[in-house]
Amino acid sequence: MVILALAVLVVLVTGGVYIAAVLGLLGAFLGEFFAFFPLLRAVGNISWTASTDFVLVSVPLFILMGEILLRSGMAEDMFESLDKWVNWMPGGLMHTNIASCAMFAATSGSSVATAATIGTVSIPNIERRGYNPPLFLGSLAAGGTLGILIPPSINMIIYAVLTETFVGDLYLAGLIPGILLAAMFSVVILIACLYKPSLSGTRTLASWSDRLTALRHLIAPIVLFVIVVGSIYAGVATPTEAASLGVIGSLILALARRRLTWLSLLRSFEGTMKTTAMVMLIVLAAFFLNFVLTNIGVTRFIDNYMKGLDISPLLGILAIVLLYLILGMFMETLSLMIATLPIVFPVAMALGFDKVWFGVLFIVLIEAALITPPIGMNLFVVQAIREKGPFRDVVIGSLPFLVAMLVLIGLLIAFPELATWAPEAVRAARS
Amino acid sequence: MSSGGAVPREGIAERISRWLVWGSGALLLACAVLVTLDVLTRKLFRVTFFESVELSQYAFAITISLSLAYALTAKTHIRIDAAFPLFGRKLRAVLDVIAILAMTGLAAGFAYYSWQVTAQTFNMPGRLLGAASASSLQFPIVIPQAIWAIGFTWFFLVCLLYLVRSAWALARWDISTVDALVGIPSMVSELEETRAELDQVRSETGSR
Repeated sequence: MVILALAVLVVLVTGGVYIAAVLGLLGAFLGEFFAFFPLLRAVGNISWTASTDFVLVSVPLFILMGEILLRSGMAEDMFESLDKWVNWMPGGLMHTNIASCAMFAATSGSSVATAATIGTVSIPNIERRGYNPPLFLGSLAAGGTLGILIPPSINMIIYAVLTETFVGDLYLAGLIPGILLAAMFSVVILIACLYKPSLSGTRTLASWSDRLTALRHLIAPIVLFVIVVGSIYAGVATPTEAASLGVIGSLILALARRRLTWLSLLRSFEGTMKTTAMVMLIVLAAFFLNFVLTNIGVTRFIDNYMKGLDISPLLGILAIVLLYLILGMFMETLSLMIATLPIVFPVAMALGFDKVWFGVLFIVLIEAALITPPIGMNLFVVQAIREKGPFRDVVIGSLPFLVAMLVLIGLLIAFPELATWAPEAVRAARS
Repeated sequence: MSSGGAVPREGIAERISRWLVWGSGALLLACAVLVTLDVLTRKLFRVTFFESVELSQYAFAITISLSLAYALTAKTHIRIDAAFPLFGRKLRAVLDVIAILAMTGLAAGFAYYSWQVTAQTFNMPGRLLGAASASSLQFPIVIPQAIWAIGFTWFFLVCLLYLVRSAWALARWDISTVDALVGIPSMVSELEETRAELDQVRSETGSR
C-alpha cells in the first residue's frame, strides 16, 4: 500500500501535476480505498481548522512585510553602512553581501526575498569594482538562503504548524546556526580570496568616523528585528502578533522614506496573496493527506517499521540528509517541505531526534536545495537580477557555499547543542 | 512572443480574480492594524478592544480562498517540471491539460466540502444564523465560512474555465494556447518576469 502510494506520488509529481492536487487527490484515493469509514467528509472541517490557524496567519503577514521592505529602500542604506565595516577584508564587497543578507534575514522570513533585495542593491558593483562574477553571485545566492534560518522564517512557521512545534523555540534554535553559517560563508570568501587574490575586486578602507556615522542606517533593521523577533523571544507576542507589528513597522518606515505609492501597495498585495494562496493550498491538501495517513495507520506503520529496522540514528539521519540533497536538486523548496514532512518527520522522530533540532537541520537542507542546480530558486533570482552572462556562473559560484552548508550539517549532527542550547536556556530562565 | 508561459490575456475572469486579491491584501493589512492595536492596548491598558485574534482568523481563511484563482491565472501554483525537458511539446501539452484537470478536481472537492461545513454550521442551534463563536464576540461563524466557500467556488469556476479552454485548444492541437493558459512558466520566462518585477520596483522607488 505504501509502495503503491509512493509510486503514484512519483508518477504524478514528475508528470507535472500541481503539487497541491497530487497531495489532495492522493489523500482522497487512500481515504476511499483503505479507510474503514469515509474520511473525505472530514475535508471541510480540516480545511476550516487549518484556514483559521492563528499561527499560520503570520505567513502572509511576514510575506507582506517583506514586500513592503523590498520597496522601502531600507536595504540600500543598510548595505552601504555594513560595507564600511567589512569591506577591508580580502573579498571586499562579498563580505558586505553576506553581512547584509544576514542582517536583512533578521527582518525577513524568506530566502528568495533576501537574495532579491540584497542582490538588486549589490550586483551593479560587479563591473563597477571589478569582481569575479561567479563567486560574487554565489555569495548572494547562498547569503540569501540565510533568510529562512535566521528568524523570522516563514518556512519555520510551516514546519512548526505541520509538526506541532513551538515557533518561538525554532526561532531561538535557528539564531546560533544562522550566525555561524554567515560566518562560515565569510570564511569561504576569505579562503578563496587569499588563495586567489584575483577573485576580489577593489576594496575600500573606510575611516572610523565614517563607520560610526554609518551606524545610524542600521537602526531601522535592528529596531524591526527587536520588535518582531525580540517580542517572540521575550514571550510578549505570538508569531502573528509579532508579524503584524512588523508589517506596521515596515509600513511606517516606507512611508517615512516616501517610498510607498498606491500602485506599489497593490503590487505588494498581489505578490503577497498569490504566494500565500499557493502555499496554503498545498498546506490544506497536506493536512488532509496527513489526516488520512494517520487514520489508515501509515504513520504508525512507519514508526514501527523504523524501530524494527534497528538502524543507528546516525545512519538514519545521514540517509535523510542525502535524500534531501538529491530531492533538493529537482524540487521547489516549499512543496518539497510540505509534501515530504508527513513521511519524513515520523521517521526522524522514530529515530529518536528532538523536533526542534530536526527543524533546524531540515531548514539548512532546504537552504541547500535553494542553491543546488538545476532547480534552485535563489540561483534563478540572482541570475534574473544580473540580466546578462551565463547561468553557469551563479551555479559554480554557489558550490563553495554549499560546502559550508554541509559542514554546518555535520556540526549540527556532532553538536546538537548548537540548536538546542538557546531554547533550553530561555526555558530555564523563564521557569 | 515566445511560447513558454506568457500569462494569458486579462479577460473578465482574470480581472475579477485580481480585484479579489487586492481586496484580500487590504483585508490582511486591516488585520495587521487591528492586531497591532490590540497588542499595544494589551500592554498599555491590559485590555483588548478588537478581538483581533478571532477576526484575523476569519479574515485569513477568506483571503486564502479568494486568492486561489489569481494564483492560478498568474501561474503561481507549483508544478515540478524537472522531467519536462525529456518530453516533446505535444506530450507536455497533454500533461498540462491533465494537470489542470486534476486541479479542477481538487478545487471541486474543496468547494463542495467547504459548502458542506458551512451548511453544518448554519444548521447548528444558535441565536442567529446557526453556531456562534465561543468568544465574547459570539460571531456567527457561518458568515466568514460562506465567503470562504465562495472563494473555493470561484477558484473551481476559474479552473473549469481554464480546463475547457485548454482542452479545446488541445483538441485542435493548438499547443501554444495550451501553454499560454496552463503551461509551466519556463525558466527563461520566469527570469524575465522576475526581472521585470524588480525593474518595476526599482523605478517605483527611484533607486539606481
